[in-house]
Amino acid sequence: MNPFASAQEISSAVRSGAVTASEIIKATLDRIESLNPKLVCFTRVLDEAAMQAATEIDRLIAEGKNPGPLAGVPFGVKDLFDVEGLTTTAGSAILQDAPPATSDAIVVDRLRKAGAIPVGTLNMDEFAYGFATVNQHTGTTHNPHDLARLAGGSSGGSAAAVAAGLVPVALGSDTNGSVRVPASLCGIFGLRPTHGVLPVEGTFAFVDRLDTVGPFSRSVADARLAFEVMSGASTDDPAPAQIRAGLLSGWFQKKGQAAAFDAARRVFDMLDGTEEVDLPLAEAGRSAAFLLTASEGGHRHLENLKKRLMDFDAATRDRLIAGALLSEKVIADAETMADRSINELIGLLDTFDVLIAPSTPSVAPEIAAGLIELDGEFVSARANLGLYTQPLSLAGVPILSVPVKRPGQLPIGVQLVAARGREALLFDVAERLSEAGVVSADPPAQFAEVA
Amino acid sequence: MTPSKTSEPSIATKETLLGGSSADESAESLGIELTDEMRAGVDQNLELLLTQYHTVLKVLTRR
Repeated sequence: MNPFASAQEISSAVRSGAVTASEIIKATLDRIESLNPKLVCFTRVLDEAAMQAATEIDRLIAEGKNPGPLAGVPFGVKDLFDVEGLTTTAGSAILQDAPPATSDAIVVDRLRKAGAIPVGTLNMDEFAYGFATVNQHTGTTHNPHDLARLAGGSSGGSAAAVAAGLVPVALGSDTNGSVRVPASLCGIFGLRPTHGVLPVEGTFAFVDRLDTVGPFSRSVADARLAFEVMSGASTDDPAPAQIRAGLLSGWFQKKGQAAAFDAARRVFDMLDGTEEVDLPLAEAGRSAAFLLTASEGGHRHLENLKKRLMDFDAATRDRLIAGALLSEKVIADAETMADRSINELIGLLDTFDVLIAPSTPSVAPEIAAGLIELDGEFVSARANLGLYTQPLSLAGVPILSVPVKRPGQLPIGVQLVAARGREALLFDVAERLSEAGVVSADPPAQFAEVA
Repeated sequence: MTPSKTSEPSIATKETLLGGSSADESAESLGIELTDEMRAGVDQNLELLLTQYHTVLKVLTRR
């Protein structure tokens, strides 16, 4: 099959007997072996276990049984999801000798029970603290659209693997933007679901009040299917014919590149949006999220900072130490600010079905520089690519990053934001945008040719 | 842009951020000993956090 076949196409072909799950998995493993050295997205590949699982799917089909809606679909997981029998490293050398997981993370288990087959673990920033997927221990993930550029992070391995056609679906986690940022830079769909809707049990935590897990895919239909399987919820709840769409202004139209703002406006225009709306507390909300993340992250790793300081990636270590040093007063002020920022966004979503904002302030930055230009100033990509995702994370609302079609240019994504529990609306809106040709996850030229 | 009716926030310093101690003292109280190399990295991150805290204070002290 075409390596860029969707999960739905693969499952349908496997269930109809047009292709076996074993053939799909063998082709997937071959493609990973051939292309991963260029991309550095997979950190471990589950050759034997994946082939065994495929054989089991083929056996069920031969017996006339239904292996599930994702029969034979290969998927990868960011290396902070437990996979039974594997050590969950969270991208850190500190955990590489930890005992293997005794069971799958809940969402991995649900995908497996639907017939999907995990084929490996995917690269990330150490302990998910960064927007770059630059990892001292496991290497830097390269963007499939330009190998000299970052894939974004912290779930960069997941995004690159999906964008390059190694797997149709991968799992990532999004605390401050770690699904949406790499989805934007790699030109694919990435969902941050409503906080708490997809269980995080069996994943390595970062910031409890912000942590979510979500899928990457090359189509809206695959994102919807993966979400339905993992949540157990139906998204068969059609959106109203007329969507009340608002374009976020203020903070979301400052500092970034024209490409980001143009992309958001194209989505807004396609949805017949009429109003630009400000979130005056967005900048301060982002700062509050930044401080709360630093503090909770630092305290989470305090024991290892005391005992195994030199085993951390230096960049992560220094960020975590700084966060652990923040005073209680600073955190109390950040909490107050966070609450105000949340109320502001939730209030706006009473008036609008969907709010629109760029996912990243720029297209993928070059790996060598590791910097992005914001308002004429060059700043760290690792810390700042989440400029527009971070202020929206606190409220726990669902956000889908969609890839705006830009033939011949580097990809960039746009966030569609809805009220809590309204994932179905986001999928419907994204489908309308896909049908209109405004959004599309086009295969990267050099990987499209490698079948 | 309409000028906001704000009072100037009290300017926080790195010591404010750390509850009145230095980075070395705060780290030591947590059982972490900073090397010279780490001190530079931590200091850089504290600068970034201080910028974020100023942004928060600016809104919280707005009348």
